[in-house]
Amino acid sequence: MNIDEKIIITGVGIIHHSLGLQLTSDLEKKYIAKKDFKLSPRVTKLGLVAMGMAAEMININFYPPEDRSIFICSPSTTSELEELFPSFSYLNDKLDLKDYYTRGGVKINPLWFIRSLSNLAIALISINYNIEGVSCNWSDNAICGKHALEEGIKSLIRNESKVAIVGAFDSIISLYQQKEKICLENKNSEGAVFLILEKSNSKRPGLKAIYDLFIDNNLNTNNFINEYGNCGVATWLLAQFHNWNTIKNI
Amino acid sequence: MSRNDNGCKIVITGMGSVNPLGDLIDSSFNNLINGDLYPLNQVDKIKRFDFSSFPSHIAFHVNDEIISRMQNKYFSAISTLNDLFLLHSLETALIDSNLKNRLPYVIYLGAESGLISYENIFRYYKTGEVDSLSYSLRSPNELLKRVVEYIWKDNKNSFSELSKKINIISLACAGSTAAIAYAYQKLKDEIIYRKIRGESVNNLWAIAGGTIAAINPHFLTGFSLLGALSKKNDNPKLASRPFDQNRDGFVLGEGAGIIILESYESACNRGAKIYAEIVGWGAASDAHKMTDPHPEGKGAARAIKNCLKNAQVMPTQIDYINAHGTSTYQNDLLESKAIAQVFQSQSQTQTQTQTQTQNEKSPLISSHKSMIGHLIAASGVVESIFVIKSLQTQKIPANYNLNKLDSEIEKLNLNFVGNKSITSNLNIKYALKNSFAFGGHNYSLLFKRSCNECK
Repeated sequence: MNIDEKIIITGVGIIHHSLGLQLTSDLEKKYIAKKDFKLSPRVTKLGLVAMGMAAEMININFYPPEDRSIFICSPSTTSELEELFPSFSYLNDKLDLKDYYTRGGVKINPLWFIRSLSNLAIALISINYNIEGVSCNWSDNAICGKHALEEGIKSLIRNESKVAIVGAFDSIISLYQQKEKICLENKNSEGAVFLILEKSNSKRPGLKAIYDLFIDNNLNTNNFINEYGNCGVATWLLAQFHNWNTIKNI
Repeated sequence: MSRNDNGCKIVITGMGSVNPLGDLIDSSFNNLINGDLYPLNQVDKIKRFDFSSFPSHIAFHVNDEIISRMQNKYFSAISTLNDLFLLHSLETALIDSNLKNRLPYVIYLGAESGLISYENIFRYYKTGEVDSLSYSLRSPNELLKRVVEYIWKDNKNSFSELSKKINIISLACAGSTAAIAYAYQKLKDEIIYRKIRGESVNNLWAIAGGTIAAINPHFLTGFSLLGALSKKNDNPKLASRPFDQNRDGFVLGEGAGIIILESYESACNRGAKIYAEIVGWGAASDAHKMTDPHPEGKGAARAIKNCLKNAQVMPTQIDYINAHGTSTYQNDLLESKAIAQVFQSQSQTQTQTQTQTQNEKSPLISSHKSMIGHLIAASGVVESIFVIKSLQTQKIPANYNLNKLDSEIEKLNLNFVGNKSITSNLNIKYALKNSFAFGGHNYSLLFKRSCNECK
């Protein structure tokens, strides 16, 4: 990479109430393929819609599939556990698994396990957008969006890819997630943000930076959470995006 | 700065693991080489839950005595198997590297939703007690907090100092391999950055690995639904048989592994023992199907090629490939095709020019999964540890249960290790480790033998 090259943000997809953008059935219909609909729990739908919004801002097919890479943050489980409950039974106060796998007419949906994998979204996105380069998925704390963004930038700097997709999404508004102690202490929220990163010297027609890319190493996610609620693993990237957006609008 | 510049080298200076072959690296590796199924290798019917109604109900367990020992040792800190496996492996690796009280530059762990305690979810379902959900749903960070606070208990600020450096990677079966790859790259980038600024690279080291407690209803149900597990319930020892004609799926395993990566200069300056060098990594995605790998191993082949390119090593220099080799029909076939794509075109060229036979130039291939099962997110690191031991001892474990090579794989004329370990006349310098995951994430790592000479 030459010294005068820059990494620029050329596409953004976002769903967050701070911008008045929420997941609606119209957005789902527009951006989620029919084959993925049944497979996707709500949290995955957030990611797929934000990715769809970002992808329509550039012609990703300009780049060969092996030059496209993706780095995202998703929650450590995405399945809706309620689906399992009809299959549970207890014997002498212990979980009875005798018929768990095939309990009468409520055999567990084979899609349930796939839905529970935290790499579901990254797999669906790489399939739908023919991303054959590096793919990596983080599932840790609020700051993992920073890790994903740094890796996206580095993959471009190291010439491992020509376009990098960076994203984060989470939803902690469901019953079970709200029961988690860490969430009880905060306002619970949900959101998704996806970014398309390219090099400033790309020959792609229509290339245009829409935000100045910088990483705020001292970004205080607590301020964001206090103002807008806890978005789990998507918090850091949403807060960083909020900064870029604020600066742009000044 | 080239990769061969000693100043940029990354070496392994510590390892720790608990797996179905034991809780000590050397004895686990000896069990792997010798094929000792007893007393430690516990492949048997699952007893922790009653899974008898499931189509597959066998698994490779960590020995119960080892678990009891760990529970007694760490009882004040943690409770779930995931925690125990991780804590034991991390503490062992830190002691092994003599870095126990120091803080790492970065931590990368491969982990799956196995971090979730199913028992707690069931308890919540039964009782409705919110407390029973603690640590159960979505807080791998909470798990790490307890582990970190136990390991670095003398440093009251350890978690706040480390929390921004912890990366948990969820990439299914490729999780811990990706964790090692990114830890390596992060260290490498930091070495270059510090060298440019004229700063010291002393005390520059990282923790990488993974943990899994997969023998639970979540994984057994899930993989059963996908038809991925072996149904050879009546003969558990023969169930996991990578590349064999009669393979019918994988057998779940459990455990954890941690390796300490360190700048070569830092290791030399403190007189650390050096197990091996990491020289590169590569990754690629299939972009094919959620549960099916690309039938021709397209993404897998590109991951291997990218790894060799990253390491600046030719295919002909590779002596040994530790395959992902799960014992499923699809994985073993596609992986063989991927290896053939990368290594046979090269060896055929060699054959023409150097009149060497293909097999003489093809790297030896084996999978460890017939002896430890599939450790999902932890498989990459535990198998990498055994690969590093192979480089160190010049011994390659057998492909146990490989009695008759799959007829389609046989046509590819690859160089599989038989069902006896190779323990003499080896000269392995470069060893490749593959990991492929649901969703089409493919990662490869390349290790190089170390002569432990600090110059």
